[in-house]
Amino acid sequence: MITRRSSTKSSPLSNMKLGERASRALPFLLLLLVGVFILYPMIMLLVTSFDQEGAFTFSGYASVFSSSSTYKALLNTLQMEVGVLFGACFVGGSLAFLRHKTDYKSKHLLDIFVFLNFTIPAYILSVSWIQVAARNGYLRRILKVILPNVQYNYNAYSIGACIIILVLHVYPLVYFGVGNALKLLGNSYEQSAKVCGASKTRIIFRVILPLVLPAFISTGLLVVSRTLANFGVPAQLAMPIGKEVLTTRLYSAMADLNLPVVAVYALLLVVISLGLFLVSERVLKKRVYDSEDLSKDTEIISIKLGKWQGPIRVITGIFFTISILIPFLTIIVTSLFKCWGLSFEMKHLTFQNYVRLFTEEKLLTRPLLNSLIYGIIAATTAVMIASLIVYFYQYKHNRVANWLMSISQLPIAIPNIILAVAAMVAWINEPFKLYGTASIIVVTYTVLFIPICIKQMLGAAKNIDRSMDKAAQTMGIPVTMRYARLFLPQIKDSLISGFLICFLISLKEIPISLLLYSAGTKTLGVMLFSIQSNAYGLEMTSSVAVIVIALSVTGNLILNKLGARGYQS
Amino acid sequence: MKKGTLLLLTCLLVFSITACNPTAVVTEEPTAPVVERESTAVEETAEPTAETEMETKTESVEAADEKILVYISGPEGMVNKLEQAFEEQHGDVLEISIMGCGQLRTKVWTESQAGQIEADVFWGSNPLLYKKLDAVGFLEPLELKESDMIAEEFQVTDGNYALVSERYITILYNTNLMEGVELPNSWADLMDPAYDNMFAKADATQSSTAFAIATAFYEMFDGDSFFQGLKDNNIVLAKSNGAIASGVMEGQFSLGIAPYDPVVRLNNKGEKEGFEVPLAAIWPEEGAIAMQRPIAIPVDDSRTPEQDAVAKAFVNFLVSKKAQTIMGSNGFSSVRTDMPNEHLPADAAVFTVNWDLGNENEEAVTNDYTAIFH
Repeated sequence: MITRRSSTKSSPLSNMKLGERASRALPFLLLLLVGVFILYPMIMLLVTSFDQEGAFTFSGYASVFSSSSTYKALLNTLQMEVGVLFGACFVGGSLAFLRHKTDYKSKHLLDIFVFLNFTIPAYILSVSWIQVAARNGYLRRILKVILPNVQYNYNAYSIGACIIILVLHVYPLVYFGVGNALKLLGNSYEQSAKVCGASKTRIIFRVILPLVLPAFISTGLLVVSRTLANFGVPAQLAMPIGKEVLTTRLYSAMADLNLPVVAVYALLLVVISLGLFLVSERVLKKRVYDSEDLSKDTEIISIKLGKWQGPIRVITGIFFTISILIPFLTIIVTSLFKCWGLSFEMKHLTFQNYVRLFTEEKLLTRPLLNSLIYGIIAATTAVMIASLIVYFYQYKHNRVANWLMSISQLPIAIPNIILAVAAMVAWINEPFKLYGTASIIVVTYTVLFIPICIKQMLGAAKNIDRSMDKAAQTMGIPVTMRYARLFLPQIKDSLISGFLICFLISLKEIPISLLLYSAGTKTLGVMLFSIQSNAYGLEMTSSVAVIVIALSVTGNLILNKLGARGYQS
Repeated sequence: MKKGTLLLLTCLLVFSITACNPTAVVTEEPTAPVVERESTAVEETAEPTAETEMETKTESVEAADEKILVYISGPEGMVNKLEQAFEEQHGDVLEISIMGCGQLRTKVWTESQAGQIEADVFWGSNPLLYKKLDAVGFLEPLELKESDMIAEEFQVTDGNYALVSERYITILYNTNLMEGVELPNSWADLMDPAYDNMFAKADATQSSTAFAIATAFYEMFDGDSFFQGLKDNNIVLAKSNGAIASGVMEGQFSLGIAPYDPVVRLNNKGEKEGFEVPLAAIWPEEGAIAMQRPIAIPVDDSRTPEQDAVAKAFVNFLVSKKAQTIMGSNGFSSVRTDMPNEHLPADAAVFTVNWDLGNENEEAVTNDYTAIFH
């Protein structure tokens, strides 16, 4: 009996050897996985750009680069980028300065409002903009009451409108980024300048601004990259007047039924996005501050606002009323109308839109469930893959680990719409056919989420003492065990925050779902974008928006409570 | 343990990819019960004849074995009613994907480029796409059981698709906003600077019906002069035709170039929910553009005989009196000889599009349209 047991059960030593062998294979397996799901679609995109019914051709490139629409789209993109960059830097930078370098009284409120701005999806802001500024919008209605003779001819659709909405959406990035830099600066340079007799203005422009310039550059690049990738806002506010940016040009090109042209537009966007990403990474690496050890409560006040305290509080109050209160109110009020555009009377108000969404026609039940399921599966998978990649990168430092890290970071630099197009061309044919199923959405979400999770975990992983893993390795504990028992518990918080951030993105994501959904796989984002197209008015879009905002704000509050590492960046 | 962890990771990943594949789920799902249900009378449906009912019942036994995937572009409420009416007779056999007509066109074309159209039936948009797909052998021949009841102008003799209904592209206007303003009488009037900044239409790069409308204008005005006229008058381009009707009603736009059928649906809604719908249509002098909505079954060797039967039954159902009545109440005109065209005013002129010419002009229309509007 004893002999039989010992013959069937392998010894701990052989078990360890087996485990080591398996663990040695794991990075290669991971490399294969990210290669298949991240690199392969990109390669297919490149192949498609040269392929016209099986023949090698440059016709896609010729068509794109000879079309005036491409250059118009490029010009509009540039115009939008410059506008958003300056707007976001001005608004975010000013608020950050107010928060960290002055004796502004409502600093806590400032944080809360900026945070709230961060949680409202840009597309919803643009819907709200139309409700306020369009020809039959709330602004015109109010004006009609106050000034009945005034003609309201403002055109709500323009590149300028896109810039305003995107500034309101992305300025928190500058606020948090520059705010952190200002916090880390301390005040020794300012004190020295003061001792030398420099005026306040001179200190601001000659000392503080140059010191936080790298922060402006790095967050500015992030702003540019986010603006470049945005699809929903220009689709809502610029396309109606025939103005296109690169993302919407790509979307329109799909209607021309010419895949090589679509692929070339996608590659053009990839090249620009990757360029921006590489520059921003380089700037971020160079960004070193001579920081002081500041306790939590330390506030270094450079400027006392004095008599300006009141007016500045009024200005910030107006700003947050425009950027938060009005969008929230208009969306909620519109969602209660039987039909948007009706006069504001009790008989025109109803909860029927919500009933229609959840019970009567169940328009939102399936999409909401889909978003939740796809979000959970994709976020879980991404967290698992990302944690393995970070582990190998942190402890192995070999070529495979470096490749793993580089490839899996790629999607962060690529606009979502490109990930969707790449997935479409990669997974449309046998034997890897995912197109037309929910899997293609889940896989593309996962690809999108992996670098976000990596960013979350990398900071936490860098703070882990590597000697523990070394000691465990010396004791012969296999890598899978070290990963599961030693590494994961130490980055638990960033695992959770990574999961939640990805999950929240999936609830409001539009381009991927819009291009890849099929029968029964509509998501919240698709409903948000297309419900108005299905002959429902803005009141239904607003009802969906209220649900998305509620989910987004709740989720972000949970995240904030968890103190997600580097959450804002 | 270490092997277990590895296995768990792999399993989870594989599960995440396979578990949510609806095709996989469908094959594992028990097939819909082949129980003949008593047809509950839908408010606006006509009773089928005893003969057709017998046929349908026999079909239902064979056809309900497997679900078919149907791509439809059309109003959600109407599609749901049609699905309900069809499934009352055939069981739960339809997996319907409702989308905008632009998306239907892109999706079907992209899939055809990949070698196989995923849907078993697709319905909506306009004849341009169907003619194009038929020319490259992607569509199965169709035989309608009640072809003798289809009006001659809707009989398709040179293609493998059928015409299910017709809609009319007109000029919609907001009765409140246009009060006291001279209304346009023709398409050409819309180029008048008096209507600058007043109207909208669906974007041809986002909506395939809008593309077909652009093709019609290209034919009507013999080139792109009308596009330029619209552009000069600062026309707004919406995502879809549905958004034009609701936008005009809401007062976002005073005028709109759009199909007439949403007016009927919005009027129905207003009547039901008790609010005024300030929306009316102008039937232009040159003629309202007649836009037929085709249906087709793509060629697919992997389709089972049961699915094939359901697909054919569904196509036949859509041209039946019952389905045509549902469509009629949603603003679409019938293709049948035994049903009156209640949406087209007796004195309205109709512009019939030459779809073959439309396909010939497609590249020119695309290039000119993009150059002018984008």
